[in-house]
Amino acid sequence: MNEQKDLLRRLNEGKLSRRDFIKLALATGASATGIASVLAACAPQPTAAPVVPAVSATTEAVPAATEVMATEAVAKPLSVEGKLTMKLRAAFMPQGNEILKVIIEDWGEKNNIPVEVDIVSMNDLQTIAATAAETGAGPDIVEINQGSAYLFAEKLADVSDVCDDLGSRYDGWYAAAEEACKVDGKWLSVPRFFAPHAISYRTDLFEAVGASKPPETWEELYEVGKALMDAGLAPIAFPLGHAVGDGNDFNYSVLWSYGASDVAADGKTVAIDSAETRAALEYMQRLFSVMPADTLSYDDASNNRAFLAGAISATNNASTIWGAARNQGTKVKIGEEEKNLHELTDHFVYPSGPAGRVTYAEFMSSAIFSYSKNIDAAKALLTYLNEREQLTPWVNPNLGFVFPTLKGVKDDLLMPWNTTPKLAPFKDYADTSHLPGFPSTNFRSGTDAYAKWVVVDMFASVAGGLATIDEAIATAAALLADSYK
Amino acid sequence: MQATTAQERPSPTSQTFMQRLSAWFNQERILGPALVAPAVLILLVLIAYPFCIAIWLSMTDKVIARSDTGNFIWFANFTKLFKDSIFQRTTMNTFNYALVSVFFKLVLGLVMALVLDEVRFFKNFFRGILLLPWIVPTSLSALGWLWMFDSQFSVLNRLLLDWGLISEKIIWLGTPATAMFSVQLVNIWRGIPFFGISLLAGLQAIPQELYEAADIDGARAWSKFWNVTFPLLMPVTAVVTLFSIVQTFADFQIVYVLTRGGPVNSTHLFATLTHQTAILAGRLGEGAAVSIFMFPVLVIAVVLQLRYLQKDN
Repeated sequence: MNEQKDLLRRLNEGKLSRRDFIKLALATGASATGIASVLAACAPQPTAAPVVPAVSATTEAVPAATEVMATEAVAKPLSVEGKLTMKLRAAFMPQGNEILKVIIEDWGEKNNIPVEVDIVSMNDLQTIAATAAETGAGPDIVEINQGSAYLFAEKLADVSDVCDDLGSRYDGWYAAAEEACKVDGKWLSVPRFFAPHAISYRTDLFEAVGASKPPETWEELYEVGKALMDAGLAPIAFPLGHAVGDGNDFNYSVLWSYGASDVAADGKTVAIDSAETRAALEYMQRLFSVMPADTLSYDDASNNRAFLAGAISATNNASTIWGAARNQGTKVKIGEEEKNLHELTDHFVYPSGPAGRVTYAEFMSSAIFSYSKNIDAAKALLTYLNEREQLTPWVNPNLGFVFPTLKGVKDDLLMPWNTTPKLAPFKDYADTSHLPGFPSTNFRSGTDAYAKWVVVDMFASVAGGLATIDEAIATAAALLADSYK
Repeated sequence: MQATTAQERPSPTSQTFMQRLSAWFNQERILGPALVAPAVLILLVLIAYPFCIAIWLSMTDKVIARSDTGNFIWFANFTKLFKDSIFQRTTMNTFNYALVSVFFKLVLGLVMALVLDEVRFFKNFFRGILLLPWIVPTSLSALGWLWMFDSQFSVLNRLLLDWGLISEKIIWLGTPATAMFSVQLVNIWRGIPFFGISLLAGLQAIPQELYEAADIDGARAWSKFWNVTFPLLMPVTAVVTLFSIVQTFADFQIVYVLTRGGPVNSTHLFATLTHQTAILAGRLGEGAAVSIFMFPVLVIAVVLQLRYLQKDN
């Protein structure tokens, strides 16, 4: 019992070793009683309290998954030519990368397949994938982002069997995952994870200006921002620079939740010149007036650094700010006192606009290139990785930086948003998320506009006073006409 | 040397294969081309071939991983680019970036060369240390600069504030003007040593007698610089400037690391826009057209410089 407690504690702290992982996989995969005992171990911890209702769902689902695993392992011995090679995206939580490697190498050993796992930054992946697609040589599996499956469609192996199988066993895929990977009715990439976003904020500062509960609309967020600025406290700050993840996430979400979009539902008509867009731009002008001006230069790391330094009180991000503050024991000075930053940090879901809550999906999928000589082995690995037994030990130590793309696992007891109340706002992230190209299904063109930063730059140019609202819309419209032609 | 001895040996009957081979190689019409061949081969494979492919691509509608593209469309990519607002901005940026940077690199490099020429103690130490910016990999030093320009932790802002030169923080990478200034600053910082060391070599090749003669004529320092140093340094300067213009026009790493072309495309250069268009958006043909765009400019620069050098000879 003590050992399991210890295991769970390490899991939560992200200090899971290879041995721990195997134990955990056994506990979650081997039997429902195994899970039950781990849960029993965690019950005395206050963090576990909110998860209790999910018990039955999880324990029921487990045996089904294990059965499939068992039959698959016996059914056909896999073989590869050379090694099974893959390039995967590095998570911001180093322990998440370690666990992933262990899981894959473990699979390689069990199936007697040599594997080569390279974990690289997201920005490098796109170049690797483009080169692989164009030259017809490279790794067997490459993790690609957003709607890249549309860019490389012709060169990707059909993975419909994998996706249909997983989808049927885990309550289906999230809409955004399907939008990104199902090209003309065929699955061309296996959804892997969302990097879920919420607003990280300083509870103490929000409370200081009377915001005892988090804002629910963008307008309320502005009010809090204004109050913070008037009080001379650390301001709210959202990225308006070329920040691949955070910048797109924030700006697309504002645009869509104001009911505006870059394209109409037909996927051809540029729809940016609308009253809704104007309302969103006017809002951004106001919001920028209560933000620090350097948000125009924010990259994906700037808002993390500023928050960790106590210089800002809210920003949009994955859970990595809170996670880093906790891992590193970051302190912040309140008057004469030093306090743990992570204790003063919490999250709230993206606010709603006039059109409700519509958010941008920061998304990764695993593509198998059709030149690969190891397609069967690659498919087997991708199936294996997305099974509950492997998802849990990988998702948990990532502390909310990764969110599974299969609907059926989000209620699992060991998913971080179920074990850690501060991560609860990430739980419903994928329900409202979409890809550039939304509300149409022309994600290929949407990805083109996204690559050109059309939406981010439109907001940034208005916020920064580099263009009037009309000018910014006209510039965006011209660029979008080219993307969606 | 070995080859020569082999040839001189007067025993043709006992010549081994190796000896005959080396004798054959020793003929000038064989040896010359043979020595040049590896360089030519490398140029053909690594420069000429990709270059021709790029020109071809720039006149097609090639999109990555799509077999229905790659049709020859003459200059459609170029005419389209002329109307593209990001490209117009990028063109202005690139000229601004390259011309301003090269000018300051030249002036400051010349100053560095003149100063280094006067240094009498620890000569090699100073030369070594001043070369550092040029030796450190650019992406690495650019990351260092990224920290120095960071809006929160900028050491530059801290210094300027402490010295009372500014009253509030400068947002280095957040406005078009300061962002362009910042990337230029890094380029200049990185490029000065190349100018400095090359010009220093040029300076030291100027015969001392000329200065002595000037001294006898009663010339002052300025007049010596203007009438002796400057004209004799001109050939080296021309070559170095040409090199630098070509390199600065094609610069990628500094902007990619510092701004990714932002804010609002105000620091995009041809090379970063090429990457964005060809790799991120997958439009290979259009991306190639962006990168080829600077070709005429560079050709003009090369022709002018070569003409100048030939006239000089």
